[in-house]
Amino acid sequence: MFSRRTVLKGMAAGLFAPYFRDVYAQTSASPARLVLVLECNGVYPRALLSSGTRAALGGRANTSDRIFWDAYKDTPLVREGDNLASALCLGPLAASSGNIDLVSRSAVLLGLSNLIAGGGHSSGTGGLSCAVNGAGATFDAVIAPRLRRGAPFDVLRLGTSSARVSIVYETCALGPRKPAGIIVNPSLAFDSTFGSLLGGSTNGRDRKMLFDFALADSRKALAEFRGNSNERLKLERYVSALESLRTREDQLAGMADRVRPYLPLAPKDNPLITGAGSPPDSLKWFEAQFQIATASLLGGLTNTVVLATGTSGFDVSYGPDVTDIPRHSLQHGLDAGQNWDRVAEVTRRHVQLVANLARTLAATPEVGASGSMLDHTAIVFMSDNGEQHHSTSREWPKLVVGGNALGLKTDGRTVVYPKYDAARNRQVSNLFNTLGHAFGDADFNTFGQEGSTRIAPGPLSELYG
Amino acid sequence: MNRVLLLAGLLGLVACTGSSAPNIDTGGPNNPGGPGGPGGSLGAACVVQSVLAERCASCHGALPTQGATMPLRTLHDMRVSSAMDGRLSNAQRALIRMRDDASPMPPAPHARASAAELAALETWIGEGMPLCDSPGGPPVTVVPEPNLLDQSALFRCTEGVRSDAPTRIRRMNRREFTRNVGGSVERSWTGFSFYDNPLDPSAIEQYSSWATDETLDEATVELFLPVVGEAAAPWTMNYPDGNRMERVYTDRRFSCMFDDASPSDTCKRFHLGQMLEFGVFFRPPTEDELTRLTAFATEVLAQEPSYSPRIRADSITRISNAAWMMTGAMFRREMGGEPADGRVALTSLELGSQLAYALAGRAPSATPSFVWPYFSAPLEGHLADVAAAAKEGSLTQDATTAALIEKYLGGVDANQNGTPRFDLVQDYNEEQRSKRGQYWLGDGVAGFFREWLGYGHVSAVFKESPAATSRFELEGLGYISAVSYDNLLTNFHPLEPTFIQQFDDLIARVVVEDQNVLENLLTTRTFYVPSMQHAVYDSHKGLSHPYNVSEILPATVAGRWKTLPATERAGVLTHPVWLAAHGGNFEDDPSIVHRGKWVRENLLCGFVPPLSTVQVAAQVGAHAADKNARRRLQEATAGAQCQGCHRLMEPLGLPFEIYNHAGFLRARDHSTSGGWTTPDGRSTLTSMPDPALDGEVRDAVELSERLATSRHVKRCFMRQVFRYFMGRPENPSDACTLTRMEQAYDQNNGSFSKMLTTLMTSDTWKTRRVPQAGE
Repeated sequence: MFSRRTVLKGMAAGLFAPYFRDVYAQTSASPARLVLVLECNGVYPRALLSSGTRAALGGRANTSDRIFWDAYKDTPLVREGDNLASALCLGPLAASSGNIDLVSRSAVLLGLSNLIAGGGHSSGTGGLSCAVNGAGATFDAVIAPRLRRGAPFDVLRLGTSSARVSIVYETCALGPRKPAGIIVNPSLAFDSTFGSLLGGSTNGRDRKMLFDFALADSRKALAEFRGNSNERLKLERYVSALESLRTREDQLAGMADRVRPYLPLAPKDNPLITGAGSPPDSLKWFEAQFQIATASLLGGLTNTVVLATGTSGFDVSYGPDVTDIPRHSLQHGLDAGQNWDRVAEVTRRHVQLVANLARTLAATPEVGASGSMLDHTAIVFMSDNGEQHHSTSREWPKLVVGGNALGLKTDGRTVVYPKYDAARNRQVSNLFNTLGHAFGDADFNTFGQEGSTRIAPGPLSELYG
Repeated sequence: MNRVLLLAGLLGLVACTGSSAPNIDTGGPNNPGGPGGPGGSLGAACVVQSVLAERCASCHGALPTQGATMPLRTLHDMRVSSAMDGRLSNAQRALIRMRDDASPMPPAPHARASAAELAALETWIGEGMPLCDSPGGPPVTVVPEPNLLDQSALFRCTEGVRSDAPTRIRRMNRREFTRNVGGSVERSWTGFSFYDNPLDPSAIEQYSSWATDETLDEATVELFLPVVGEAAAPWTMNYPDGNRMERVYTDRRFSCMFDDASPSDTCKRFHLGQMLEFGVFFRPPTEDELTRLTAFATEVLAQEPSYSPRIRADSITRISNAAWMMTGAMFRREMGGEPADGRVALTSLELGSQLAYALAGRAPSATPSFVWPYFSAPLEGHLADVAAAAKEGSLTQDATTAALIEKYLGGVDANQNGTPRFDLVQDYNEEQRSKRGQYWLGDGVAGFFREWLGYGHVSAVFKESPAATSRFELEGLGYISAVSYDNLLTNFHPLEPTFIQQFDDLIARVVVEDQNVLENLLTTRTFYVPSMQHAVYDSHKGLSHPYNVSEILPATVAGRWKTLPATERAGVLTHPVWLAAHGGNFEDDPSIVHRGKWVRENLLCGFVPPLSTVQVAAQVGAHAADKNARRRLQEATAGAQCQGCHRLMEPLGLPFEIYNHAGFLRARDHSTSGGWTTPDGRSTLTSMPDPALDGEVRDAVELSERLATSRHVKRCFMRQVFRYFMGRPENPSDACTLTRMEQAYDQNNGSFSKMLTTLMTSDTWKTRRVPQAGE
């Protein structure tokens, strides 16, 4: 129903998290970025298990089991200098012709639990909020204001989904039952992120006129309003939103030249979009979304990105080069034929996208600080539900890439924490606490809403410090 | 020493960030806006929380000791109904015991609560038991919990007491915008639709109509702009892509805006005045609004590089976008006219808007859609007579309102044999429409039942093996049932009405028949069941399986109405759509909890603490051949720590275990030996808020029949109706209106329409309180 032109006319940019601006407005002192990459449908511990760690764990880790927490020790197992690329799905981290090594800039975490999130096909917002689905803000929303540092957008939330919609709401949240949208159509994502930059002076002029007109109208309405404070707040927030949007127009206009060199192909020319088929190949669309994210990070449009594949609709499809079986059927026939290999291949390709992003950032010097952009960017690869398709939420395998300058011990290590019911088990919230510390907040110790089920506050000493 | 340690821990548990120092505010107003609302006192809540920690927690901890039977750690513990007497909350019981000299709480030798503390507790109960809020923290939207109010008090009218709800503005929601611009709420395979707009109602409110804090923030505006641009199409004559609007197409006075290189002010004002009144505001614009938009339009037209129809269409789109960004477009007003005695009467235009949205889910004169060969409404728009009555001022007369309610609440399609129902034009093609039942409800009224019964999202609730444990699985038809079930949800291979439409049609029949509506909703055996007469694909061959029907029904409207066995189904709570909407992903999932919680909250108007506040990792154990859903749940929640809340849900959910997670009738269930046994829906109801509900029940059929006879349930239903159609939770000052609604219902043989007419002609509907200074 909509032409791209209509979208370009109407919209300049993506998704924001304004709610926390007042609550958590302190900004990071030095450059810092966060990229959360989620593979919904589960990420299996086996996918991230290096051969060395497998041998060190022994027991079920040595079998073909995809989940093997019974082999975990009573104390955290830290294996520095681990050959992460030997893991089933981490080959893309290895150096190859023209590609730098990422193993020595990564870390794998096994054994982190997140029981409060509930598991199942999806934990909804629980994976990123460490709370019951819908009960709290997700980490991206909480940390984005700190990382923003004047960037036009708090957060860019992009993904793919089997839901036949353009925006989905089940993975991120601005607060309790305040879902944050994820754009799952890369054409819309491209237009919404870069539209104002591409439109030239006419587009910018149109939007400025629009916001000026709306601002004058809403201010007049507010001045004449006779309702109580609750009702007045509705108008005040609308006025505030329009003021922000108007201000950002000027900001975007000033950034156009800086961003333009990084722009990916427009959707009509991008084979990842035009050749994705129907239903679209999730891997192609996800790569297109990575392109948008990469350009946005390089151009300084945002410092926080969420990329989620299979969000709010996990039954995504892939191209014939991987499989013509949709993801849900793959999972339910995991032991049949080559299905396990296909799922592993999908995860491997997602890791490849992470690696591509990381290498691009590694090749780009950080402005205003030493090192590369990768040194100041933490990329976390995880799932939205835990360790398998029907997750129990007992384990959430994680790959962390980059962020060395932030204090992250991403030096090619694997850390295996005691399993979910052990005294020294650690939780996903501890990883987010770790990132909070890495981003400069020494008091970021109790993220999430685990309450009495929180095992320990604070960061993971094995990953930070 | 122990007590001190325990106290310290418990204070941490309850996570009270407010002051624990006594701050007794016994003189709070009547809390007309509900807990935490304007005038509500949160001071008493913090005192009660302190009292709990100091006087109760040592025995009433997470695991009660010293003979205590329930935890009283948090304010939520106090808010739930008592296991001793379901008509009272734990708080009310606690107050009785704390004042009981013969058997006091806390028992000797512990010190008893002070008079001030008891007064605070009583005040807090009267205020609807609000939570203790943290002063000075970030602003938090306090969601009223109307289920904490004493239901009997809500039906005790004191003559002269008028509803104490203030004036307000309400942001349009996602569905309303879609309907206003002539859009479909059904998904298409690809592309965008108006329904992709971001105006979702707040997720923290029970009904989409409440709009307590909805507004437009940056993200919402950004996501709205690309959608709203398309709403301009009818006003640009851009018909190849957009909706054809006869108003513009047939009236030559619009031509100048399309044909003149420099339209006159008169031309622009006519075009924009019509656009605002019939396409954006759905009321006549004020002179000031029209003047400002005309000035904007003049500026836009002056920027045209040259004249062409395409460039002009772009300009009109820019002007339309600006119109939609005006507060008059996004917020509808209930601000009334001149105040008198602290109140205002809503203006006739406001009454028209309120009535149209309530009945039809759209504005008066909302844009018709053209779906070949039909328009969804005449040239004048949807509900044009409501708009006309609003303009001429006749909506202040109850007879006019009553007539419009009768017309738009619902009805029967007079031409059911193939002639489409025009209320469906926007969503379905001609072939699909002819298969629907003959009864219809206005979009707003249908929306009430969809939201109250909570089934609109059913297609999003994934079902693993939908026919598991049903006879179809036993008969080797599990695959057929599964793909057909998926087709019922997605309509991927369209043949029959979708699952949701089948339920819509059942509800419409009962409501339109208008006799003992609630009782019939809860007990009817006549369901609208899909036919498989013209089945082609496997996904057609099991369409009626969720109803436990394998016979091929005639593919006619009459043929689809099927009376199901009295032992299998009774009313909406046994309809597979409701069961699926409130069921889990697997047949042995704890659907019991979801279903029981719904009954507790929505038919008994009881309170269940939300999971998010009790911080529980809610999981049952692993699937096992020797464990059915009942056993898995009981193993997980048998402890006293869980039963504080689960006792409120599980007894009401167990009767539904004769059905699986997808609403199929079970033919068998897991036995403890790992084999199979007969499905078991037995439950024992105790301490129900209506003692007549207490006792053994065989299954959901018997439960539904029992609920249908309960006055308490009927009153809860009235409260739900009030909440949805008034767009806010009820409060004690609404008692006279609620009482009259009940009288109208009872005196007219359970007439839903009479009950609704009573509400929509009441003082509560027509007037608002003027906010007090500083409110």
